[in-house]
Amino acid sequence: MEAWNLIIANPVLNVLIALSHFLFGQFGLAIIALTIVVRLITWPLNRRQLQSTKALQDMQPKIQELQKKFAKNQQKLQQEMMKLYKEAGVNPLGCLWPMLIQFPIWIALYQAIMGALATTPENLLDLARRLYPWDVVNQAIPLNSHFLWLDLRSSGDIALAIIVGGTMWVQQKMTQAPAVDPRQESTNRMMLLMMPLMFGLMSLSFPAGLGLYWAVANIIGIITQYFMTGGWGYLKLRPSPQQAPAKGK
Amino acid sequence: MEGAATIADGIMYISSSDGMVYALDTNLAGIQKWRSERLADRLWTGPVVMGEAVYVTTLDGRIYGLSREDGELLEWFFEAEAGFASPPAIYRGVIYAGSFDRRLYAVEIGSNVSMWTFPVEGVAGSWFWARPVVSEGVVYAGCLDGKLYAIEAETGEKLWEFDTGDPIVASPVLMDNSVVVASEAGNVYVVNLETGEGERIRNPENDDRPTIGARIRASFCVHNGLAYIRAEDNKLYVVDITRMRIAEGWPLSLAAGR
Repeated sequence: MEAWNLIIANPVLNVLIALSHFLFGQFGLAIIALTIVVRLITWPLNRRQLQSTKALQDMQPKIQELQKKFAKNQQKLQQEMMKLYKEAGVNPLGCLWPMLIQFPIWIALYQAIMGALATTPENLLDLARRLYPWDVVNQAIPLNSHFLWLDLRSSGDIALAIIVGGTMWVQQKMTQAPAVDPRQESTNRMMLLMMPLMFGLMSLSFPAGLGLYWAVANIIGIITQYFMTGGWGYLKLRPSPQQAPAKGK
Repeated sequence: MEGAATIADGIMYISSSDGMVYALDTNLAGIQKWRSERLADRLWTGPVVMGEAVYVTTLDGRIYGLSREDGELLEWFFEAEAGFASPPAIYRGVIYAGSFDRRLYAVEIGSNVSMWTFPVEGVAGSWFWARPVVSEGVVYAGCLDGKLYAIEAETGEKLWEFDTGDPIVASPVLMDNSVVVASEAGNVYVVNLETGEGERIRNPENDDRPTIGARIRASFCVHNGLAYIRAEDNKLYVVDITRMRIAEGWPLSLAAGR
């Protein structure tokens, strides 16, 4: 636990507080700034994923060709599709890696929000031992927990939950390539709904500050995807036509 | 309600998390005499009474004065650059309070600038969280950096410091020619007012352990040579200051039903 605090939790906490000092005392703006910093750090991974998405979109004519050619042979179609993906260096699974890497950041951010936005004098006292001896950090205490319509310490904001879920859905939809395997397609559709729903519900349970981070991260993701891939990706593209069942099934 | 209450002439003055100060009549079963306007988002420090006014520090860096009669805001207020962490102490018309910028402020009532800030140069190791005590022209202020500072009340000059090694959360208490100070770790020290030399009251069971086997965050009182300390384990300890040991027959558990 000490190692976690030393290496991740306390740096995130102090950077957040220092940022709010420079951003007009607004902790909400500090969260947004931190989100941008985290996205910049994970940019190499995100960039590779976006390039993969772009390549997948460019491959659509070839994919449709294969679908016509092997309409009656699912197995052969899958093999040819995987060969095509491999040649193009594409990973149709989506943006899981950047999300996984951000897990420690989410945990640290949750702890930072709860620590920095002390709800009791005891919380404030506990905060004292985690602060660095920087003037910008100490002078920022106590922090302003209000940002726009949100109380960043509180949970249960439905509007925020809808924004988190909605933006996540859009971002996923933009990058999720249609699968050839009906089972894979079914799994993809389920994930497309489950992940936004899960994050929307989570943002109802956690402090609004964390929900704000997720919403901003999603919006940044949508914007970068739009410009990297030249448009709305699979959000705009029509779904692939239904595959004819293979003989004997 | 947060922070210690202050009682004067049968009226209890107490700060609340709703940002207001309340005056309750203790002779009339605590009936509310008045309630101030909202002074801040929340008030976590107890007020102090002087003359016809009640003074309170706020987390957003202000010191307000309120009329004791009806709770109306006085014209004067003081504004610091950082929020106030400690409740105020008043001595000869000067308010002493610790701030989140790791300084102790001395502000003369009616003035818009501080008389002095301590340390004169630089900042202390952490916040002055505990209410300072003032006597005979000297301010005794405990700091979360573990040190008890003795400061000349007029000039802000440091007279001495005593290092407990642990944050000091509870206000120190004066007793005879000593000041009793407790560190958050549970150690109780008796420090000579003149020299700043102190001695730790030892744990009767094990010298290496803190005086009290629990954290001390609440302020305590001293009466007839005995310090009554409520620790974080929800027990009341009594420390015999004159004999430098924990009084026999204590602690007393404060948990309900026990």
